[in-house]
Amino acid sequence: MFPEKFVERYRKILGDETEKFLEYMSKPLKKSIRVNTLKIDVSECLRRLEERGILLEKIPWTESGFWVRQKEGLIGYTLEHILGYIYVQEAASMIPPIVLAPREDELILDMAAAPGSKTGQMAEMMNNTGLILANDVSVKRIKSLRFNMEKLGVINVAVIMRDGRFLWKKYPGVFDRVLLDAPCSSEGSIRKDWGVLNRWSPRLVKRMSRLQISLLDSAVRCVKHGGEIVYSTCTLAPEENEMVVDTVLRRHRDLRIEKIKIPAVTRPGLIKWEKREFDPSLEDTVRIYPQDNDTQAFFVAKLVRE
Amino acid sequence: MKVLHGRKRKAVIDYLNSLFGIPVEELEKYVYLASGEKIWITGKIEKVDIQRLEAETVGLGILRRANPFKPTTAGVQFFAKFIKKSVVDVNDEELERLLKGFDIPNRFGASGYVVFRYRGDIIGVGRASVEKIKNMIPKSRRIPLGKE
Repeated sequence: MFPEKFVERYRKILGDETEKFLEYMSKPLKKSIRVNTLKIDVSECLRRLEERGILLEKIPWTESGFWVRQKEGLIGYTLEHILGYIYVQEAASMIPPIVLAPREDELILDMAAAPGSKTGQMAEMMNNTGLILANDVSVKRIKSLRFNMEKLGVINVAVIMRDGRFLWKKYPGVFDRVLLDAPCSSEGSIRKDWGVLNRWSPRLVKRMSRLQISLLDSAVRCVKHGGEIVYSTCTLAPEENEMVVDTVLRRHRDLRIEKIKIPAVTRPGLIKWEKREFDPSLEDTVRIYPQDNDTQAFFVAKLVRE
Repeated sequence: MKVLHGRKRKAVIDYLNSLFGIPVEELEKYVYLASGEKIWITGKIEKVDIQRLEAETVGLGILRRANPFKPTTAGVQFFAKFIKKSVVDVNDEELERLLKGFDIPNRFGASGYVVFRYRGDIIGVGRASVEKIKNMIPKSRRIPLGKE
């Protein structure tokens, strides 16, 4: 089922735990929602959903996120979903905005924003104030970003369509915080899309890694001194995670990694992969394995530009 | 996108106030911009000149440029708790018809643009003629509640 090279790579990281990892990678994802507090209070929304017989379980790392204990698909037909009171979002994908922690009235760059799950979450955290500049390169994806922002009632998002690698030329040192939820080989999304495995190859991982380095380099240049950057991917490939952060860290002397603390089961980032040794502070980044919280896989790093 | 000032800004505020009864002091809190066929709303931002961002869009599209302005579903939902006028309270059957994309009979004696409300929730916008209220809820937001 999984390509041999894929399994081989994870055996190097996880050893005996690889079978458990693959077992979870094969299971369908648990459905989860985020209550859109721009439109409704969490308690009021929960009351309404419970009245409809929808059972919810709180996600530990967020006040407004819940796993849905109900048959697939039905939540999408509720009035609460139609009116944008709730948004279907995978539980682990709620973590990068929580780590970035945007505040009211700040200026935020969301470099690879579409379809806007994390953009909407940040808009909510900022209580619709300040401004999030949401960028994406694809017209089709921008369309879904706009649709989602409209449905969520977001007024603090400006949409641009540019190549993120060159954004720093237009916006150097401008933003209080930058979220780069980078395009990746999407290994972590196998649980929701088996097609990912057909597209996966070590070559794709290398190609994405080159793109991610350019994007993160641009993100660093876009943030002001004293500002923060969150780099995340939905893959566990070290070439797309620790290696990207390590490469950019070496290029920018004013950059440091900040330790991430969230109430989820996480594991430290790798400080060695195959023949390459990374900066020891890479240990302060987090790997989220599917078997730890029964979520999608994720990697998250928090960087501060001094 | 161009920020609206003076007469143009006042025209937007007066329209939303007179049509829906949204208090002027609430409407004054925001910045209004014109781009393409829509009027957009965003907050007052001090850190950046939004016109210099060269963004495709800024904020939420609340009105379509027409004579008179045509309110959007997103716009009336944004001001949901302030809407006092031009409201029709629909019943279960009418809600289902609206979410399936049908018009509903004008049993309310309404005229012009109206807001559909169901048990306190703002569902969307319609345009009333003598016999019916035309459903203007975007297709992308219509889901058969029968599946619920």
